[in-house]
Amino acid sequence: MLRERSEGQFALLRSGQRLTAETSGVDIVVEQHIAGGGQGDVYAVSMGHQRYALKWYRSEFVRQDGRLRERLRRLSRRDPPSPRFLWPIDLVTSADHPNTFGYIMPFRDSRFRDFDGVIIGAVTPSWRVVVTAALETVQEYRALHSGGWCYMDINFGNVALDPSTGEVRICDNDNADVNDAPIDVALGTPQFMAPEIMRGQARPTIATDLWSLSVLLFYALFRCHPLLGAREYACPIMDAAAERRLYGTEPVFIFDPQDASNRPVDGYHREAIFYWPIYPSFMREMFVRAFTSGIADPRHGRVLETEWRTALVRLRDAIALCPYCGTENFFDADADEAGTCWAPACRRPMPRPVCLQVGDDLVVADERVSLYPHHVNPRRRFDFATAVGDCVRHPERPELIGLRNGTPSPLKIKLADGREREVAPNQIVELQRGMQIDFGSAKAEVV
Amino acid sequence: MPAVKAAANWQIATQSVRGASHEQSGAPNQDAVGAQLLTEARGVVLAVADGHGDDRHARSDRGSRFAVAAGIEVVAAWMEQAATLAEADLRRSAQGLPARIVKAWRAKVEADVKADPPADRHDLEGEGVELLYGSTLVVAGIGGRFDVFLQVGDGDILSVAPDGAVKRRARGRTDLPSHLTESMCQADAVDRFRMEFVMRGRRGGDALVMLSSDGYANSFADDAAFLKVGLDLKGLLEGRGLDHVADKLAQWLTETSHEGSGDDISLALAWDASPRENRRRKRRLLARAGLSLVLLAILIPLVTWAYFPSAWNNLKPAKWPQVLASLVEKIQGRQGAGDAVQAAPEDLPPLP
Repeated sequence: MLRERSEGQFALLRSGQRLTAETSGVDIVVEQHIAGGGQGDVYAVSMGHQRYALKWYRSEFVRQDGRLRERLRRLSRRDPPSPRFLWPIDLVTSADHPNTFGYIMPFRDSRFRDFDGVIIGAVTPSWRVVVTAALETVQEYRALHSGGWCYMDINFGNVALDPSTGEVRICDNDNADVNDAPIDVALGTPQFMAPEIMRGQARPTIATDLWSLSVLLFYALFRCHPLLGAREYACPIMDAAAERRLYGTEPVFIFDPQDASNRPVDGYHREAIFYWPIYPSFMREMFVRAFTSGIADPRHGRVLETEWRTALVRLRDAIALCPYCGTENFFDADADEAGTCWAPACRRPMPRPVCLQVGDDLVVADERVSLYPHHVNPRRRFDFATAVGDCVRHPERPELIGLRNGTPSPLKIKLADGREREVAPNQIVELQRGMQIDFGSAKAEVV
Repeated sequence: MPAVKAAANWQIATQSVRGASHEQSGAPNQDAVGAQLLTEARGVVLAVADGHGDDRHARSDRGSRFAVAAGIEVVAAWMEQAATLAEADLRRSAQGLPARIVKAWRAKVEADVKADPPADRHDLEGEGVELLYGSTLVVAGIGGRFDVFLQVGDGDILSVAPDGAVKRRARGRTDLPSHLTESMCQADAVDRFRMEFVMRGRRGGDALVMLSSDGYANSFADDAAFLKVGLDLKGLLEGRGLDHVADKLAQWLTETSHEGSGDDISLALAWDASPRENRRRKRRLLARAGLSLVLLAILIPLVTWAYFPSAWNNLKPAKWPQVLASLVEKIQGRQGAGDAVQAAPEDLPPLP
């Protein structure tokens, strides 16, 4: 839930004020104040007939960060790693404000909401959307890192998502710099700072970005911080010294299998206790690795973007709706026994869902699930652009699930009893256990 | 005017001031505060709530009032009923408090919506009408045998033990972004409550419990500076009493808001006056001991002089060395005469 923001009355620029873009020399007109923060304010501006966002710094911040202007100039000359970055386009100056400046970037569509709202429950997207947004975030930072850039301050305030699709936007790119660049100002949000930065032993790098990314993913899935457990609870004062200890000098993962000294406290760390068991074991193991060997060995022990990507796709494919209450559950194929629905009001045992096994991938076939080239074409991994098949429920008999052929060519089907048939494009075939579907590049089996 | 009430042991005071930034913008005070003494001196219930205040929560000033009313109503009723329960039953029974508070709050919101339907212009973004009433809540039930502290969203509960140890109770989350808070208006508000239940030992529990909205803590440079307020207040309550503190509260909080967060600040405190009674007893004991010493100091010479009446004639200061010498002589003479095992006279140190 939002707390009041009253920075608007202290805005630095007035509506209608004219400014100039540095490189292009184009006139910019300030429309309205959108948001404020410690570094400066964000305004809606128009340039030509297009709407953009302008971040205008406070002069104190420009003074503190001596490299800011040079860094932004460098950033604005590069192409963004992907269109999902609200990347600086040009610097903006004004003769009225000689001690400061700003930069323009693409305007964020109103359908996007701050990711931190998800953690607190102010925005309540489905789990499929949350996992999709997490996956997209990982992909975007991978694109940034592979270009040799480091974001430096990954946190839940810098990512925005569309709560209906999971599409993301990466905001506040003004911190980004080439990897291991020297810095003038202390960067980062304490909860997201890698322990070695918190201890003052390292500068932000891609390796520390990986730490912040895993904290962000933990927040997205578990709605709490991975290092705040009994040690936080025992701490009478949460001051800078306590933060340094909890996040820097003595970081212990709350579910560290070797060290039980920082377990979540009942009644206080409710989110951790509630959400940890709902995930399949492979996902929990990823986080254990991220926050145990990721602490012990910052250079080689952290989970890479590519590993998160594989795990998150697998997690999204494991979403199964509870047949009784409709809650999204994560089906754990590795578990010995079928789980129960995690919704507190339901808790009924879940039957094993109908799944499609394609190679090593297991996809729970349920409403709103689609198969993509990622699943059926080993040469097009992580291609989720156009679906090759959609799962649909029978309108009158919801216990039956079918697959609509989304490809332009017929699909060959081999039924459990050996009979073969073809499914024309856009036609639906009922999924029965033991059936095989030939996508050409791969065969799927209904299990 | 600050509200001050007193029961057998517990004294309570509440105060709420409009934030400096709200005075400028003309916005109302969105905080609410309340306190209630239980019957037969079973304890007190304190509550503070902070309405979110932005446009999405347009009725949050009412929301915070309803939150305080619901918190006090439910916790007070529970403490009256639970007074005789065994510890295990108490703990189990306390677990149901968040659900009862949320239910009572929603009922008040519903009644308000019926009496004064909100205009269509409010965009509820697909959420319930409760969104308009968004507020935090901190509640403390302090009794003779046990204390219960509940919190949803921001706000602080400090407790100060008689020995001066300051503790945060049922504190809110420290890992959330600063512009967001958990709220009574959330569909899963019940699950978002933080609760702490403490049994008071035979020696009693905390001497002071202070509830405040986050505008107070945010006005301090850091957490340690804020926690020190607990100790300072305890010192003042001991030294000057609750009436003095209650009179000054409005002024202190207004100054704090102006110099600090600019936010509304509300505070509720309960002060256990019985430890102070103990201290009075201690002071009375000390005074008696002092008086006895003075009396002894007068009696001893009197007895001495009564025992040696000749001394009465030699009271002039010029004669005191002779008086002392004669006294010593007399004592030596008596000791020598009365005690056979006394050391021989030649072993005695020479006289001055």
